[in-house]
Amino acid sequence: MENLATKKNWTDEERLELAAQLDAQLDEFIDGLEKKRYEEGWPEDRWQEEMDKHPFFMKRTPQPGDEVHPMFEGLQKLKYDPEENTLEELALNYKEDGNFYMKHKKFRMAVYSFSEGIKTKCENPDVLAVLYNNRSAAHYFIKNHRSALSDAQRALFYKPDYTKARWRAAQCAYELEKFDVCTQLCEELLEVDIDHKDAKALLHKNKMRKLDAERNQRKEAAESKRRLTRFHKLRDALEQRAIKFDDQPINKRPNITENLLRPKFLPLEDYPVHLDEDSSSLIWPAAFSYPEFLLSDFQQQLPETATMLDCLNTLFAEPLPCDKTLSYRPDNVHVYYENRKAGCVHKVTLSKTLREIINEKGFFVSGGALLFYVVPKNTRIEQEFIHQQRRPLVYS
Amino acid sequence: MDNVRELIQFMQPNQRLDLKAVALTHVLSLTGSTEGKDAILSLEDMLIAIFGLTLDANSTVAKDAVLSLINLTAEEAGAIRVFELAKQVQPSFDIVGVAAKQICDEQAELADAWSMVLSNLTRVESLVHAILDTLEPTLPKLAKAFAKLDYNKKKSKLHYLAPIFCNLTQVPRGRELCCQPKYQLLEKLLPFASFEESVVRRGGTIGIIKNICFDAVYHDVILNEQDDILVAILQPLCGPEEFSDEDNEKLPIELQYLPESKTRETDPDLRKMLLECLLQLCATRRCREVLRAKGVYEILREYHKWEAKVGRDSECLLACENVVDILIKKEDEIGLDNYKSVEVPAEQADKFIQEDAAYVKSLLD
Repeated sequence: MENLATKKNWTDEERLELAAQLDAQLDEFIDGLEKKRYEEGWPEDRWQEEMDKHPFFMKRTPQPGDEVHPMFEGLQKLKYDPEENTLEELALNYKEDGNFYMKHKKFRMAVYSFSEGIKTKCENPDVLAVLYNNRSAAHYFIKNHRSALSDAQRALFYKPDYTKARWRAAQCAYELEKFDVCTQLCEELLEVDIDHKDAKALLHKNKMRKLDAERNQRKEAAESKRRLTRFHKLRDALEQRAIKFDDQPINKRPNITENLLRPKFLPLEDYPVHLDEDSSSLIWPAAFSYPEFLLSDFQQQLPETATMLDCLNTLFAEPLPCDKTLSYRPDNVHVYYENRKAGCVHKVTLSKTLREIINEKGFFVSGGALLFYVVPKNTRIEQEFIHQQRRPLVYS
Repeated sequence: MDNVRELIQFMQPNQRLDLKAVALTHVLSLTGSTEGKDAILSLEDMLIAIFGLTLDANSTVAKDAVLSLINLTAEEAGAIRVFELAKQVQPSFDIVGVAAKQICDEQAELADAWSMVLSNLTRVESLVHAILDTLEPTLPKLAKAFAKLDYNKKKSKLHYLAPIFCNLTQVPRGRELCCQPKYQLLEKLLPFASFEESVVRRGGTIGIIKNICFDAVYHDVILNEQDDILVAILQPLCGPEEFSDEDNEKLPIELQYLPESKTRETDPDLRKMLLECLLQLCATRRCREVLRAKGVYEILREYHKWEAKVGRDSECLLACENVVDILIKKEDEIGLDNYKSVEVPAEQADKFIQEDAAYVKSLLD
């Protein structure tokens, strides 16, 4: 009692005086109604505002920035002043506030109140356990599962047999996919109550989800390994054929990356060079340009074993829409590729396979694809194409 | 004999420590030989003294006493003798209860030794029912201690709990208790069928599975929607081989997309037991259909290649082919809903054995 007394600034006399003052306030209000004509009361245009601020009639607690009625300040002081309460009383007051907010689904306000209660650092472990448990519940309802889990675990620290907190911790661990934590907590619940149906169901659900997650990890690892294996085979095939790329330094071992191989032509973008099913032939994306018409045909998957004549037969199976004179026929065209490093063009022998053509000294893969130019044989168009000005590429 | 009897006086609980220790050292060395064991087993007072010292305050004395019990119970006759005597003496020594209590005690230094004693006792089928009377309430705790690898804080591994459970499932009551869904004992035990660090733990667990598979009552329990027993059987038979996505999707989820670091069970006896489990599960049409749907054939196809080249155990190869022969047949070719009710004439059985032997010989290079 003496310890309690030393926490007060207010004397009993002062507390009684405050209570009497409140009584007088109420009496005065009632007397005003019964005995006098209405005068010197609240202005008619502001009576509601004044009423809302009065501690006896307010419908909501003051929000930050609100003007606070002096009486309300006094009431709060009674409730929250550390000088007026033991730490435990203070903590329990905040717990009541928090529970009030929980009832009204004001979960963030509840978190705030429970936090203030925890900050009191009262020494009663049961009180602390309840504050952490209740804050955990508040976090849970606003789906802060991580905070809810750690609060539930703190509650268990202070009260190891706290079933309500343990069950919430298990649910949070499940949401966070902390499978082993969830399993451990469910098994602890079942140890205490073998017939805890919810814990049994969650234990099973958690196990299934963990198996699924682990399988997906293994599957992803397997697919990743397969992709890497395929890429290594592809790179080996490209190196074995000594493929040259025009955006790489000459006479150096090429640094073959997926980015290097990604076709830069939009219609070929999703069809980078790759190996066929049995890894024996390369399959190439290719562009066939018609200088006369300033347009191109794109072939997404050409096997390196195909001859250029095969390609032309495919291209001209139907006439080009813009070829009015039917000049573009396999027996009436020449095909060239450009050596951009040297700034010159080479004519293709139609009977050669793509692989043979690509192996020629002057051939470079350009923009991740094969690039050819098709012109009518022995025409002005061909002469213009051959003799047009070309500057060699310069690379550091 | 009289020399052995003289040791008894030095083995009383209140005897001087150094005398107790020396006497017990002698007893322990005696239990290492058949003659010594027989001599001790014939002396009732000696056994009573050993019982008493298993709980001695001095850990060295207690340890030698328990180690002596391990040796004394190693054969069936000795196990029966020790068990019956422990019951008869006044006051009786609850050897099973003491063992279980020590095993469940996180701080017990002799938990492993006691589990070996209990393993020896449970191996005697005629004792299992009486032992279960004592153990039944403790089984969930034993399973928990078994499943939690660092349960014992004094470095006891508790591996011998696996043979204990295996021995208990020799009898129908033991199988019933293990398969009871309420306590989920089986769920705790099964994962250790693939436990690389201890062949004792693996062997015991696989033995449990075999005992359950050989009891047709449990086949529907075994091949339920959860796959746990089937996974426990198949996982040690799976290797690093890749399956297509289609084949992978058939397999139980735990066996899908196994990494290339996956290895198979190294002990051929255990591999053979697993294959015999699968053969038992092929007894009914429903189970055969479940096994096919779960990709068992695909697993055994890869396993068989491995066994022929790497494992090279002829009995395992034969056991594998017996299962595969059944699985690759269509149901109308089999024409039997339950193999177990078919009787094979004696002369045909002999012929099958000879044909099997010749066939296996032709498989190996």
